[in-house]
Amino acid sequence: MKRVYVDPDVCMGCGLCEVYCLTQHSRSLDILKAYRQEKPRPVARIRVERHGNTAFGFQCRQCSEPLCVYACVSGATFLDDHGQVAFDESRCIGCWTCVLACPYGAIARDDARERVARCDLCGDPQGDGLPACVRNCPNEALSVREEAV
Amino acid sequence: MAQRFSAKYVIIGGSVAAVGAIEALRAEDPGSPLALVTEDRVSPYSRPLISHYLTGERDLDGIRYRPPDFYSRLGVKTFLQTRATRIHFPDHCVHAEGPAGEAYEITYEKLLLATGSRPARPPIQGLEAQGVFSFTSLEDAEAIRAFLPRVKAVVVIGGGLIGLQAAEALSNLGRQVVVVEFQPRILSPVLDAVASGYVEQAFAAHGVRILTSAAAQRVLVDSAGSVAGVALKDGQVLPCQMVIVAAGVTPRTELAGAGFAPAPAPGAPRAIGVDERMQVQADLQASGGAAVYAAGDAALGPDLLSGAARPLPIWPNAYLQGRVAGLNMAGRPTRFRGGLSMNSSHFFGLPVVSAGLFDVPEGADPQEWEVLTLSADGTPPAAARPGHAPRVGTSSSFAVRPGARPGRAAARSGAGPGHPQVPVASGAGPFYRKIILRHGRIVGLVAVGAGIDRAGVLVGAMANGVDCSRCKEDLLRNPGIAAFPEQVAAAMRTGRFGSHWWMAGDREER
Repeated sequence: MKRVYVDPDVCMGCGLCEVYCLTQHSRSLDILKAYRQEKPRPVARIRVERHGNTAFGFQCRQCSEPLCVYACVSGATFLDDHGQVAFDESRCIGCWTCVLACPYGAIARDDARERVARCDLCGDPQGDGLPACVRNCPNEALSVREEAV
Repeated sequence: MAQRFSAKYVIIGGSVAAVGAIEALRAEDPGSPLALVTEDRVSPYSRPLISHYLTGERDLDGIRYRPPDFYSRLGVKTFLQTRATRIHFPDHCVHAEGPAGEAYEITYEKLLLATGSRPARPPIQGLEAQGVFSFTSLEDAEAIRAFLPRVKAVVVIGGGLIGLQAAEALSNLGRQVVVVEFQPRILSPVLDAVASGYVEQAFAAHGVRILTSAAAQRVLVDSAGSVAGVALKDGQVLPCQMVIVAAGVTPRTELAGAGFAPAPAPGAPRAIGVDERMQVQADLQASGGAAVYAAGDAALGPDLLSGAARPLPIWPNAYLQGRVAGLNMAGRPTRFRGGLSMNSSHFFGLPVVSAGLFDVPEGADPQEWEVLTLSADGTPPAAARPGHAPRVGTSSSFAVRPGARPGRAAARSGAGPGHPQVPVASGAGPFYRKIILRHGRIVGLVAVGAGIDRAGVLVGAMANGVDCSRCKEDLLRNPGIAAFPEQVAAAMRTGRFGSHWWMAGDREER
């Protein structure tokens, strides 16, 4: 399963991953426009978890037994033909059942659009393209790896 | 003369438990014949979304749970609009009747009963009148829609999740709606008093009347046989042209037969008893084989927290049970460790969730239990309006740690026993989050508004039995895996720990 890993010893909690994630999922693909002009503002799919002196960027774990998929009442969250967790946002009704199901807190609510915002590995789960968070992490704290889990 | 078919796997029912089973079966066994008998006329759709269908926000394609070619793509031979009438267990044979009265006999090696539940019929006179509907199926939504042009006012009997969804949809369609709830508050099986108070406010703000501690006694019928109103036990009459009956659901056990759905203990619900592999216990005892499984609303599975058999007629639980049944039917030994009461809903845009317990049980030992609540402060308790104070449960008499921190939100107790109050946030809407701990482990969660963000972290801690005695306040204030002890957080970062609490088997450690 392909997923993004974080090295908390290297992450400094700068939050740039959130910024680039939000931009990547904006209409304009432009940081300033995404933040200042797009209404409603796009929602980042990664979140920097902070506690005490530790911080780490964190998003969907691509669970082998994905509770979000199993709990989804609309079918918006599903397993694609590669077994990767996929999301068809047009089917989401914002019931937030997956928010309640995800043990990692990795699904954000896009309240204004009444749908969830969740990591899609930047729409390229099988290709070589790096997700925006990984590509733009200044410390290289994030990496994307395929590991049998 | 009955048409005969034979399949290795036969499933009765066409909703979420069946889908969970089919997806598991096909992952393990792509080729064996699989047949499905369902009364539904379409491929799986989302029952929780029928209110969106009713309002017209979504068409049939918009509420499909799986793509329309789901069955054919997975090689499922379907018998749609077909009713299984009888199962001859010794011969492994399902007798069924198709839409044109054609008879089928379908033999199986493994059978799954995913028959679901049907709306309960409360003891109210006049339910056969024209204009009385239930609200659990696509057909219900279609029938309601067709009847609506002659309707100005609706009475919804039952203030549970289904009744309130119907009430919201009908209110959005411009109808005057009154909800009649027997209990002293709505959603009493899933929410605490504070949260149900918030929901009540949301309905009131949209002009929906909610009558609590009210009992519908009789549907009034006009000379044409149509609904004219609802008479309550206290003598009140609510004029209306439509009645929605949403008084809970009853597991459909009739196919299992009396022997398969053993008479429950007094007061216990009747449903098909299953073991941890979702095998029907009575079938195991009778034949020593492992041929018959049950999952979803029809099955009486274990509750993760208590270990006791308990009906959990909720969507995610049905999928999980179906999945476990499917894995076992395909020969992959998997145990179902238990379901979790888990509800997420939103009414007029207000999100409300709960999981596990929502109040400390009566008579609980205060030494063992703890309740922590977080709410936005600085605003008056809105639900403390006269005559409308929601009762706050036993929680307030237990240890509650205030631990207020600077910032918009502060932790505080829900309310003192004599001063019930609903905390309300200014500006951003309601915010409420409450966790219940026993021996330092989370056993209950209720949240409203933005308080539901990352609620799954708390549910995951609950389901995995994580000791939260040292991180509970951090978790309450800012749910996130960083709050957990580093060992737990590290395991969660790898994704190896967290999401398979409900199952045990050789897939568990993948």
